[in-house]
Amino acid sequence: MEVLTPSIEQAQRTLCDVATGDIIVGTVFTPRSGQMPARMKSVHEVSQFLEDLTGRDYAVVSRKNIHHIDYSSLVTWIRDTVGDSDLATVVDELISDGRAFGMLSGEVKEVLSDRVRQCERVLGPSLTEEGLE
Amino acid sequence: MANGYIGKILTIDLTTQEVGEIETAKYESWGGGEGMAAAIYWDLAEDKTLTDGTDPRNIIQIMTSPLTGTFAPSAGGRVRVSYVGLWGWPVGYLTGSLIGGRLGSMIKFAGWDGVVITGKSETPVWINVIQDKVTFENATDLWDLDTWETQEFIWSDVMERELGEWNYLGTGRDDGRTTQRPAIITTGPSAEKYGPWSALIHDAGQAAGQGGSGGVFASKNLKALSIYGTGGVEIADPTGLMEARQWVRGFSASGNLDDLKTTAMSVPMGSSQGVAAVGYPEGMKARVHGCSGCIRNCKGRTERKMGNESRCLDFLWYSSFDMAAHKGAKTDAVLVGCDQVQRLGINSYPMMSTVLWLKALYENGILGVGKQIESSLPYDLIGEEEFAVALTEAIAYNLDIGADLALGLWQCATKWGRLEEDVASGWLPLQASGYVHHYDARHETEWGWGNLFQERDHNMHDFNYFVFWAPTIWGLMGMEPEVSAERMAEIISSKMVPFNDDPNLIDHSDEGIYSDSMIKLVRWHTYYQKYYKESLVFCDYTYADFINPYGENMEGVTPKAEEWLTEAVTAKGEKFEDGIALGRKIYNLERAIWTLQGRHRDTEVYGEYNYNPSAAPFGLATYEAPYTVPMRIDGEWVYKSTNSRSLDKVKVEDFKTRYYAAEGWDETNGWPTRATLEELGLDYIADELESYGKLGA
Amino acid sequence: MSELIDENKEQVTENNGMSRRQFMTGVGGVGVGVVLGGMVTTGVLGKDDIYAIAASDGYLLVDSKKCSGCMSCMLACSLMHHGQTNLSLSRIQIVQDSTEAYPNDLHIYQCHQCPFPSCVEACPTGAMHADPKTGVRTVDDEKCIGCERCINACPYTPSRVQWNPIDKHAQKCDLCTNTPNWNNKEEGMLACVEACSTRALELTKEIPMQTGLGYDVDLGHTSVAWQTFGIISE
Repeated sequence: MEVLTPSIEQAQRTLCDVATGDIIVGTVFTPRSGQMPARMKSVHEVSQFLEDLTGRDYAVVSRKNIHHIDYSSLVTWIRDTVGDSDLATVVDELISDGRAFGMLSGEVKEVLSDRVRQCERVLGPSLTEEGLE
Repeated sequence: MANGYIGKILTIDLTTQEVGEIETAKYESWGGGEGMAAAIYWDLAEDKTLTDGTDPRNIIQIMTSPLTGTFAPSAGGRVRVSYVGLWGWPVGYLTGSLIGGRLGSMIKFAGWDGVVITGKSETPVWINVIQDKVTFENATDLWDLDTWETQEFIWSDVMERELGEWNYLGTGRDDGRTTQRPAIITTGPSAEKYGPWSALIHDAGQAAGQGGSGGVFASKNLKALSIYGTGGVEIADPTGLMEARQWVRGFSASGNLDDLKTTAMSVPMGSSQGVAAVGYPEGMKARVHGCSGCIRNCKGRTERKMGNESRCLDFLWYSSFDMAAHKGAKTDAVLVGCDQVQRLGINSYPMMSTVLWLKALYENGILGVGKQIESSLPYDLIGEEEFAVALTEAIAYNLDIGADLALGLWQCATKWGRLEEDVASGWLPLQASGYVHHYDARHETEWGWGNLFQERDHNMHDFNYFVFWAPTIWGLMGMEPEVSAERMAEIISSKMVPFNDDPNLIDHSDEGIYSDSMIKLVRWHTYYQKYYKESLVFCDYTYADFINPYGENMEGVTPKAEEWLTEAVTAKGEKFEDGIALGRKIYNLERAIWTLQGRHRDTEVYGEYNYNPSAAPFGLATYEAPYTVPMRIDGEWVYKSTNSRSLDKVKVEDFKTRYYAAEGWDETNGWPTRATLEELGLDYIADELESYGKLGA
Repeated sequence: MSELIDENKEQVTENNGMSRRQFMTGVGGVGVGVVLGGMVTTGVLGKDDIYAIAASDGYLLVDSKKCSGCMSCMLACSLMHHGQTNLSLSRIQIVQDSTEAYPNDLHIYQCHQCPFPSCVEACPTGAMHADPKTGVRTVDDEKCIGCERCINACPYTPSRVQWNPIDKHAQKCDLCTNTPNWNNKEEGMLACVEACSTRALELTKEIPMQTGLGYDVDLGHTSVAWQTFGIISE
């Protein structure tokens, strides 16, 4: 699913970290052990947090953690806090078919990752290490 | 008589250095572990109203069960440490903590069913028990050592030869030989400085964490207890025990390696060994490790020695911060976090909530350099090794805000003037009795009720795996449930004698959580805990096994395993319902002690955040951490999300009233009544409560 | 130490999975009664009249990387033999150092049922002997005089022969040929194997390699099933 090529200003906004008070919180579920908050400050961090795993990966052992984020909250955060309406719209459409969290996780991850790369290409030579931080 | 008991309990008076023994037979009717310790406490305590755990009149006990030292699967390894604690709110109640490894079995092999320690030593000592000989050794030079250093010292002091050789425990050839090391339980450095946090550590990472057991040791000028023995545990029916173990193994994952069943159910027995591995950095090599006699083996030892025998919150207290700081990767920071709490003997459970609390205060400009709460800990390095070391050392050595934290969390928050506000918001999620939130009472309500009516977070996952984890994982991952909600309810209810005629016991709907069925579930759970989990010491990581993919029609080993294993060892002729009844008796004995200590319905309250749907204990609001649980709605069983549910104060108070009534306690204050106590054969307890004016009407 | 003729020695020490039957066939296949230490025991007389002790019918293999240190094997061994769980009476010993690095944190010390049993050779009364039927090296406790020469003769540390201070005789792994407290034991069952929580022990009829890690093998710690538990052993 493609997002429209962003402007330079949009790319900068999408790659930026949000303020501490505006972070989005996900949950790391460790089955049979507990839940821990995962606090993310950028689209890039969310894309890294989400995992492309299926139910089979949690079979038998449940040794893997489940990295959960509420998709509705994610859409709102991307649109209103990060300020990337186009990306929010694409994610919203993706999750609208009501599939379970885990079935969508890999696809949402891919959309976010693609957007990050897209923004990096737009910024090109002007992108520094600090720009990613 | 071969019944799993040795026949004598060691008594040690630190004030007089007198050593004696109690005949176990006098207390066998209480089972072992917690039940036995509570009964002994009732008889020996000079002042049962005592609430200061540092008072020399406190009694600390390490009590085994008849199954300890046997290979009853996942029931032969743990012991109960019992004491008036230092952490609880509003006072330290008689409490305890379970600890695994090989400590319990070694106590039996040294020739004892338990150890009862009273008084206070004039000078720092460690107690050296070799078979039936007890000596008091000077611990002045050990007092500031960490738990691993202490054990290394004592091992080299006690053992004549190297580990792995036959060590002689006496001078005569029949005095006993062993290839094993002494089993030691020890505090961290100068544990009196952080008493409420101080855990007792055994080997690399076995711990009696909650309640400040290490602080009790330190208050008695006691550094460590070392046990060494070469005896054995006689069992009523050896063949029966082997058969029972073979049967139980058929339900375990490692008993079915040729035919592993894929299940995301997170069931206790049927799922993976070596669960600790989930905390390791990627690619770390390790072995599974288990306590004596275990069939599950939930711990591990790693190729880099780090994180040995740690599990669960030992890792989890720091792993989310580590991952956040390192783009989702687990690094050595999480292992440093493990080893710090083990070496310093710090209760790992409250640590994650503490970091979240401090983080919230820091990010909101309340805590830090030049702030209202002055602190120069490296908060910018949360997630790095440096912060893990700085915070744990601050607590242990009373550095920076560590001096306040070391008082205990609710005590610290009180001193900072932040208790009410931070509990209400969930920044400091003290769920009940001053203990940190574990599972959310707003959603997995059976957990919360269990805590409300007890003196600490009960930490008993009997329903949690099935009622919360399984449906939540299925829901998150879009998997077809391996057991329908209806079948789950049917199986679990059927096993909960004497309440097994009620099919609605696990109903977690908005009505169900306040229902009479829920009251029965909570009562059953408490009785099962008190007897099977804390007195006979069946391990929480394996039992209760209600549902199991290797069982016929998905049924697990509970209650057949508990009954069979107990019978094979003890030949008591005890049925499961007898055990549940005994659990009720133990609960009432403890309730009586807590009543004398000041417990009242007005102190059995939830932290305010439980009434606030957007409060975020653990930094997680409900929508951030979804709970999917079984509910009965319009007569149909479903797995459903609890969404943004919170508790209702009026309904909570009504539930308390009906719960007290169901238990046969005074509804106005929660105190046991004479009728109930006499029904349980505890007339003498009723008499004593009455003499204090604390008998329920 | 009894010597074997060269060709027999060669056959026994090669890593060719030779069984006891093959060994006996290789030296003529005829068991001959031999006087040793004053007692008649079953041995094999080689072509040039050199005596050899028949090999054991079975050997205990271990996978020390899979072992969890739960000690259930030790508890089961002692219980089935003696009616009590007792680490010091166990004929298999698991020794652990909890703060050491894997895999050096744990060692399994089981009897090797040595083809050349020093303990048998050392015994002055024939109490320590190779069982005529099974070849298992074991103690006839009625003949044991408690000299402990067998304990000292074992070439391994800790000695695989234990002193039983209750019944006052030497004892060792007998591959569960005498377990009076195990009423429904089936042929070939070993208490340690049955109790093991990770399937890290196995009975084999093939003589393991006598050097290196012949007795400590992969019993599944590299298997796909084991790997799914998330523990990386290798």
